[in-house]
Amino acid sequence: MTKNTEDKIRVLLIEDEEEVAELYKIKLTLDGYEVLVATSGQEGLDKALKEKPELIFLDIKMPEMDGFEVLKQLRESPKTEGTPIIILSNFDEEDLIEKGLTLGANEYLIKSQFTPEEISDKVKDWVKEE
Amino acid sequence: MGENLSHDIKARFVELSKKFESRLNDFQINFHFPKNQRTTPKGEIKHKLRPNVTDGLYSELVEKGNDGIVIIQNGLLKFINQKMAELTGFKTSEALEKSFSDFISPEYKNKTLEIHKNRLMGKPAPRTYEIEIMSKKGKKIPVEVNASIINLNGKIASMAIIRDITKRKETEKRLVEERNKLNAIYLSTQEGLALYDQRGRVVYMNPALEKLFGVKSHLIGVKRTDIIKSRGKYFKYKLERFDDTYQTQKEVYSGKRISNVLMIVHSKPPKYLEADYVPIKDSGSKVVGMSASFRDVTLLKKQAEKIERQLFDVETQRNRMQAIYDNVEDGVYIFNKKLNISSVNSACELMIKRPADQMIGKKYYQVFDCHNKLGYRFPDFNPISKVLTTKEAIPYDEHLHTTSEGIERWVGASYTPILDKKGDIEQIVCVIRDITSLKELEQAKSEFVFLASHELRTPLTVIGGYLSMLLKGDFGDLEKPVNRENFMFVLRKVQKETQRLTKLVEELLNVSRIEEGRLRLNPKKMNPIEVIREVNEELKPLSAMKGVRMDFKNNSGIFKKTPLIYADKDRFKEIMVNLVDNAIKFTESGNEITITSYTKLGRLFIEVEDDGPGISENIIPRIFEKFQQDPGSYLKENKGAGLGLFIVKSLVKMHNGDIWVNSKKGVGTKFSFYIPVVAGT
Repeated sequence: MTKNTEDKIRVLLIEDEEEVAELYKIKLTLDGYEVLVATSGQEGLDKALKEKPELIFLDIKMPEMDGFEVLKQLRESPKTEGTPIIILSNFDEEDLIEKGLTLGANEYLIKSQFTPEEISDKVKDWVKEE
Repeated sequence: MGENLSHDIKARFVELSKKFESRLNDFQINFHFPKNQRTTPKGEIKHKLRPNVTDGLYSELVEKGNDGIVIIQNGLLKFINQKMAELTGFKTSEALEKSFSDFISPEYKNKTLEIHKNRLMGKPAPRTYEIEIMSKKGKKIPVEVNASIINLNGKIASMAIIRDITKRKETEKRLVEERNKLNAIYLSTQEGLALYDQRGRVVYMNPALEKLFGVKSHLIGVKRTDIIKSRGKYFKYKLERFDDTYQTQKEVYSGKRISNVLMIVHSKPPKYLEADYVPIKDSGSKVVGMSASFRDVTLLKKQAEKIERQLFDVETQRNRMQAIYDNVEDGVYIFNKKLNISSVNSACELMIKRPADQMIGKKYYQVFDCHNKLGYRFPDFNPISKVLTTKEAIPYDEHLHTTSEGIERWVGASYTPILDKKGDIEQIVCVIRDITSLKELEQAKSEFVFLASHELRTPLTVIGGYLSMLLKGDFGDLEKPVNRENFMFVLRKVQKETQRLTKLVEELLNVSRIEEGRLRLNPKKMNPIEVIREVNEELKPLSAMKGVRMDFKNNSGIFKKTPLIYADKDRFKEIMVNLVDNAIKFTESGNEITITSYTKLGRLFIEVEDDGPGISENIIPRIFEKFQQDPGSYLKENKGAGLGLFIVKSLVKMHNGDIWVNSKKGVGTKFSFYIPVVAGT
């Protein structure tokens, strides 16, 4: 796990909950990923378009611009239309899950039901090593 | 002999007739002796009038008159006229020289002979009397005999004028029979009857009347007006009439008939009477009296009263039902099996926002625009299809209605079929209630649960996440002291999130208590300034850590003693902690927080002011609602569930106070609230 920064898979974590973001950042960093953190929807959108990460973890409930809006805009942009996006939310409403997947999320995971390890493993599932 | 006799009689009649000269005009067909004729002791007739009668008149009188005439001498018939012959059926020649007694019905023979004898002897004898004579065929004929003494051929004889009174007798008999019949009726009828004469005096009353009124004194001959004046004298029972008694009498005597006059006789039990007063008129339509009949209508009256009472009850019940129908908050409408509406109540009109006349006669599904969540309408969606097939009621169902204004409302409905005698559906009664607000409340509740569970899951995610990493060895071997720092890091995270979780659970429970009205206060007279000072001291270290200066200015009770409030001390402190803690959360190093208290118009005002970033304008109206947070001032460490201010406002309200906020982006925020001061402090 001593890859150079350029070699590392870059993951963007869009999460307004500081404690949650810190938890996932620790785990993903430990697992050898370069972790970018955005604490609002707008910041996440900006970072995604600018940094073009290999995978995006996206929260839904965020102030001002929520996760769905971010998702919509990411899918509209050619820069991120193919990027794997995994929604991480503690909302488990069927309607919201359906909405997320319809808008183009690759997966919708309920945070409290997955360990940080399981979430970290999703990167391996969705990002093919070159 | 016959010739001579005939001549003699003729001469005698001529003589007699001449006496009546002055009264001839009175003589028509019947032959009468003058009334003033008297028999003398010797049987001679006093001649007072000069006769002047022609032979022709004699012939008319004797032969063609309507009365039979016979002359009897020594008990034998010496003369019989044509009429008498016709009456008895004998020829004149057959009758002559026969014994007169043979012509008399056996039961009258003695009577007749007695009278005859008396007359001949000059004793008092009735001039006219009634007997029965026998015809040739043996038939008895009632006759009136008018007999007198005459001189025939120098000898005394009896002349009798005999009148057939068969018809009169029959009439009399009939009259008697009729009278008996009427009497029987009068005596046996239950109806009281009274007759009054021309001057209003009682001439007759029947036993039924005596019984009805309890007549205790003799009434016959008493004037009705006198009876009215002193009824107590004549009647045992008190009488209550519903007419003007005098007026009634006046009208009847003027020829009017007055019917159904109601009166109450206060006997035990009381009787209701109905009277009819009818004028009695003579042939010339002149009123000569009055008849009154009284019938006992107690039973009828009681039945009528009962029916009336029942009708009233039914009417009351109907009115009650109508009132319920009109005023009930639920919409009620009725439609027939063809689904045409026949009736709607006013609640229905309000709900559908359409007047009744625009609904009646229309199909119910057109009026109510019922549909389900997916938007299916009639016939794809028909809430009563089950009623139509099973003929059973649907006690409760929920669906959507769209009003005439296009507003979608949730409706709770019950459908009850009314079956006819054959068991077919005649009508369906539908009761609908607008449950939109209930649905909204339900939705708000589930949203609350939805948001609450989200908030609960966040700290749980963090706790669970760290613990799983710890167990997986992500933080190294815990046995090694070198990893102790990592271990401590995780423990602090877990502790922090646990505290957050605890606070959240506490808040959620408080919200639930507040909303269900279960939050109980324990209010006591207390010094609020002490509590504010306490909070200030307790939270000062926290603000100091952030580099935020905090100050408390007590402007209340400077010159006077400290004001007291009635409050639950713990809850009051909760209000203060929440507001000050919020202020610390949303300020940054260099900012300042000022707590101010003052009293005004019997209220203790407390302000918590900061010069922080301020609250976004769009959130201010909803700042005291549940799960509201200001995204603008969003700082990582300030995460809260957004329940604090909702709880604060509820608590202030429960203390009879109010709270509001003034905030400007980039300038600062000021929360102000007041609680009434205890009078005299």
